[in-house]
Amino acid sequence: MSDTRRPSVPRLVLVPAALGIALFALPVIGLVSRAPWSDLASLITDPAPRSALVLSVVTSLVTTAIALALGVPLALVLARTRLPGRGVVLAVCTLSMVLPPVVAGVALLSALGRRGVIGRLLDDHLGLTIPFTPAAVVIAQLFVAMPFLVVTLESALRSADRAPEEVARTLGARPWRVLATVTLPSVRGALGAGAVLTWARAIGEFGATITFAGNLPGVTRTLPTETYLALQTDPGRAVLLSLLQVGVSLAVLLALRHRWVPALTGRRP
Amino acid sequence: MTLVVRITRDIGPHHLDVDLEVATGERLVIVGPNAAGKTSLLRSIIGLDPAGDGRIALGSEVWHDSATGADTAVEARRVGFVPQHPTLLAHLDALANVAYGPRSRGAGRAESRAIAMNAMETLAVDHLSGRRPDTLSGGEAQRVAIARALAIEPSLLVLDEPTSALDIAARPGMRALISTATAASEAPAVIVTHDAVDALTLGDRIAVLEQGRLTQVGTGRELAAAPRTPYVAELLGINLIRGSLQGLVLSTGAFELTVGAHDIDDGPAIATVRPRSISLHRSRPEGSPRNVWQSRVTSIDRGADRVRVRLTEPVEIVVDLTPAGLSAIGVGEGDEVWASVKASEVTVASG
Repeated sequence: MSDTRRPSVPRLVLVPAALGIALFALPVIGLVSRAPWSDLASLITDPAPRSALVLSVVTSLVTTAIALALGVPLALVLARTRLPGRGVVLAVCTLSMVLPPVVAGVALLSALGRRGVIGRLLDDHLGLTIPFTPAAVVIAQLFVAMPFLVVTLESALRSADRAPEEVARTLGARPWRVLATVTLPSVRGALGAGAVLTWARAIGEFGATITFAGNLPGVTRTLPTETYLALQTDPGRAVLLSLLQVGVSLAVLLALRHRWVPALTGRRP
Repeated sequence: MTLVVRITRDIGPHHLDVDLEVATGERLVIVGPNAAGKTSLLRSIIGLDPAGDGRIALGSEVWHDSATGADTAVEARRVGFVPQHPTLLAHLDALANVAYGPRSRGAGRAESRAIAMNAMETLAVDHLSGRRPDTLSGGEAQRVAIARALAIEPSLLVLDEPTSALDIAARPGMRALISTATAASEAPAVIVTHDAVDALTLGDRIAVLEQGRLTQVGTGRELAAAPRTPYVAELLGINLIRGSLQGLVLSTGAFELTVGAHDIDDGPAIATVRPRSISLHRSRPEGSPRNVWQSRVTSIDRGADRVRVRLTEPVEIVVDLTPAGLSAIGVGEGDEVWASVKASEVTVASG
């Protein structure tokens, strides 16, 4: 591309743009420079952060899988059917994106807590208690993270050309085959981007999780919660835990950037 | 197997009301102005749109019957559909695109590829088999799309404006390919086009759809000999003048035309005049032509070997001249001009 002239921008635009970059870069630099690297060895051997890391990775992956299983059909219904009250449904399904996470946690407690609308029924009839279990961690993550997948995929499906699906049907493909071989491949960029955004939001979830799932070591204490608690007693340790999460997230983004998340890196598939 | 389409359907600005048949191996071309309902008709036949009231059947298979509620799903109709844009599946190579149909209909992987290769060889596009759609030219993609339609051994072929996306130089080759493709299949073929050359070269018969209704159906020769609407006349490059015939004079109210010898009754009639038969003059011509009138040039279209001059008043007429002929007269747009035509060049049919 070196032979094409780049579109120019007014020079003054560079100043706020540089401030924007600084806003994102400085906290990471701060983490790296403040980290008590000498404590790293003791952190690695400590089982508490390790179990928090395992819990975070496992729950966020389970959340992503469930989000795909529920979110893809939901996006299809929202984008492709004449659902009555579609606007209202879409608003309800994406409300949690704009809610403070702690409010999401309170809402989940009111629905699924032991005194909650549904939670009481589950408790009375099935002896099932959701809050303060790993299942609650996953539900909290789903509630706040799945809308990223639904919104990304819904808009991609809505703008996707329908003609290839029609041609596939004339060629003899039944609806499931059209979905699997035409529709989903045509939105694979959005599907990948939506899944990664959902996963990233899930593994970083804190407010809804601590409200709804609590803070039981090894059961519901995820890495963000562990970090928050460390900050109260041992700030150096909190910095190291934070760096660990920066590393995990960065590694995933870099590993996936070409194949699955073209939308995140500006590349076309 | 004969395709029978007898449907009425509301399509917004007007009503689609069509009754037509296409025989085994026959190619029916549907022409018509924009928004006449051509695409709606195709989509109803294919099953992509509801067909409304009436019946669509291919041989003994009833695809749609509003009386019984029968409505065969698109994927069960076995229509080889070539859309206006090739619409290849972007993530599959050309061969996999052609194999998609047989694969969807239950053939194994190897068998589907063999069927696909065979279809591509029939159309001489097998050299494109490994190519991705985004590396194909428009014409190549269109050829692959036609091979894909053939690969399902269609019981009906439907082509929507197969040459409109191609540049003019590529159209003759595409027409030849479509002839090969339709000859390779016993299936009836329905081809929608805007292009008179497509219609005349590809159509065993031509059906004219205007405002949702078939205004004329016949061979190209029949349509050219006796166009029944201004659209048909314009499409085939013929002047058509509707009026009332009395003896040898056709009157439009504003204009009178002396016509050639005929044996039709007085009353409503349609006169046709070839654009080449009309002469233009700077001043009133002397001599024998029975029809001489004064008019004004509204537009001039210059082609390579022919100039088309359009006159509006007192009657809409197009005149074809050679470029040399035009410069000899020396008129331009907006200029006054005299037109003349011999009565023997004006043919008349009852309207």
